[in-house]
Amino acid sequence: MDKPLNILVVDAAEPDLALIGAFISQLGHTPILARNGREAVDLYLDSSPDMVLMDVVMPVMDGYQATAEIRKLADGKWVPVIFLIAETQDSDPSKGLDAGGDDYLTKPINLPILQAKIKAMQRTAEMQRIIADNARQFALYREENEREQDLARHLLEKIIRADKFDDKLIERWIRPATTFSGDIIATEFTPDHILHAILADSTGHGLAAALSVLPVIEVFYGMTKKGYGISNIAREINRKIQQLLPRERFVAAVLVAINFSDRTIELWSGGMPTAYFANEHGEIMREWRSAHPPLGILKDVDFQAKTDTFRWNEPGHLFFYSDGLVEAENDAGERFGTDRVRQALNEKCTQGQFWYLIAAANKFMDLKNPADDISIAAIHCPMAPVGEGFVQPEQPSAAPVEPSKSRLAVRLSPPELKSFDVLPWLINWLNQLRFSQKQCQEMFLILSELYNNALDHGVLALDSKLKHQEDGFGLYLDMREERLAGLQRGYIEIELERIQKDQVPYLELRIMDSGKGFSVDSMLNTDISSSTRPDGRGVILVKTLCAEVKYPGCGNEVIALYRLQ
Amino acid sequence: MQISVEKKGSTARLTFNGRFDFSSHREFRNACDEAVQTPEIKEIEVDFRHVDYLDSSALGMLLLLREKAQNANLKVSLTNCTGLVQQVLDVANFQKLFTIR
Repeated sequence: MDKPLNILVVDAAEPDLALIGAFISQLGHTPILARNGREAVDLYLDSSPDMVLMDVVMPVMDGYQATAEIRKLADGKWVPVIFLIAETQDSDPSKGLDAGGDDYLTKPINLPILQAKIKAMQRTAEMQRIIADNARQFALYREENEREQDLARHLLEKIIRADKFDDKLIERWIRPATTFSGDIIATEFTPDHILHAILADSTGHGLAAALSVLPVIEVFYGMTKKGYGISNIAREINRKIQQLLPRERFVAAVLVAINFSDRTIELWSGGMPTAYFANEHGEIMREWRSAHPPLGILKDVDFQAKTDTFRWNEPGHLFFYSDGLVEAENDAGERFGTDRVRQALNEKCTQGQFWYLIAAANKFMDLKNPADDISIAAIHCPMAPVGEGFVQPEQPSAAPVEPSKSRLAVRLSPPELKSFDVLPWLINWLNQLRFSQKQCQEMFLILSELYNNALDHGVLALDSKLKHQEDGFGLYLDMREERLAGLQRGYIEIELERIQKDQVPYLELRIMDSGKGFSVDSMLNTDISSSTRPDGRGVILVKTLCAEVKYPGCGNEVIALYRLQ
Repeated sequence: MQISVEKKGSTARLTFNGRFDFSSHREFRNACDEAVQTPEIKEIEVDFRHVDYLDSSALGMLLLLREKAQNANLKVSLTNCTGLVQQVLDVANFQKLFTIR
């Protein structure tokens, strides 16, 4: 037999009440008897029955009103109400159904039909109970899911360091299609103060996409801090995604390295829409089309890390964004497209082109949620160098340095000169020697300046005068790339040694190249503040940071003494 | 999206119809498997003539096809790519991965 029910029987006629009550008991259910509507409501509250059989015409409160009251008290729980309608009354059965009844029986009650109706209602009530249970479970699940999502979002924000975005050089805007963004924008300075930025967009959107960008971020921050260039960072991210993600998942990305003292932008783009450099009048001075497939598709041997470099001769902004922007649709099914991006950059707007572009995108989508994540970044590129505040005359380090005579020497031949990022490797060695972070940063700067001079002007024999000519910088970069690619002979030797001189510890850096040497006297005497010559500035920075800088040979060898205490 | 598979000699032509996105995953996989598993097939031609949209998960599916085809020593080419399809393939530099005609 089915589960026994508590059935509230309401009838003003005592014989009917007794008959129905007895029949219900016989069926194995428990009858609760009420003689008018008021009693019915009170007993409903006390006994919370599973079903109600309701007479219509009763003293004190009639069946319609009692049903209405019971429905109010039910509190989301469904309790079937069956009206008992006397055939002699000219009452319309539909009135009972309108008042909230679920079914009706005519008096005199046909007992087999009553039994069948109780069974039918029982089935319906059971279904209702299952639905209510599911709804409750679903609500619980949703609550739990929301808590987990909150935690996941918090963690992801910490990992991508979303709270760190306070620098004034870069403006960024991310509009995820769901709670999680599969687009990220991150920035970090290298030890020699090159600004690296990445905008990455992983396949799809939502949590799966957000998880896929985590390895990208980890590699980006880690390698930038160690001083690797964006070519090598792009290659490593590609390798990592290949290794970690399933074949059909990949990450489109723009990687940028901005050298504010040289005023250069180096850019690698794989699978991203065109990036632009626009001057302050909104004219587009340079565009970078996607030159490579997205990260994570090509095997390491096929991967191309080639970047494109641009030098700005007037202030402006570098703009890059994800395909969610160009593919955003309006009500008419049109796409935002790159033409609208270019138009927006052309507008004069007091808040700047970046905000104008965002306003244009929002207006276009009419504030609806986008189908894909949208992210936009703009980097301010001024004429005056920024962020060189750390190049102060050296503060003696507080921690005493143990006397040591360690020495490291390395000789690089053309294959290494072409592809090997030697500086992070050297800095890694220096890091093991427990110098302070500030010292490491300064040593990195010195090494990178001297190494680049040795490579460009020594091994590659590039004339630095070329850089100062009108449009010479582009030519310079082209020649550099060409000569490096075709390099057959030449070397650079680097020697790092800890020495003591008059009881004072120093790091001696010696760099020698196979070139003919170059004139350094004029550069060494130039005042740093008036120097706009990038290479000259480099040497002068080195001089500021070092106790002594010597060129013992004909300029192809340099020895710098960096004071450690 | 609807995909029809037409086999002619050693070439299987997959013709797509409509939006090519994540919802096409199952049909795409079935169509690819059918083409890759037919022994006489040496080349798969994906016809985009009737495709008006493809998203990044569609690109992912094409990469899966490329891998399956490489493992089975088959050639894959993408044909009749115009308009938005061509733009999306261009941006992703898929011409470096597929023959596009």
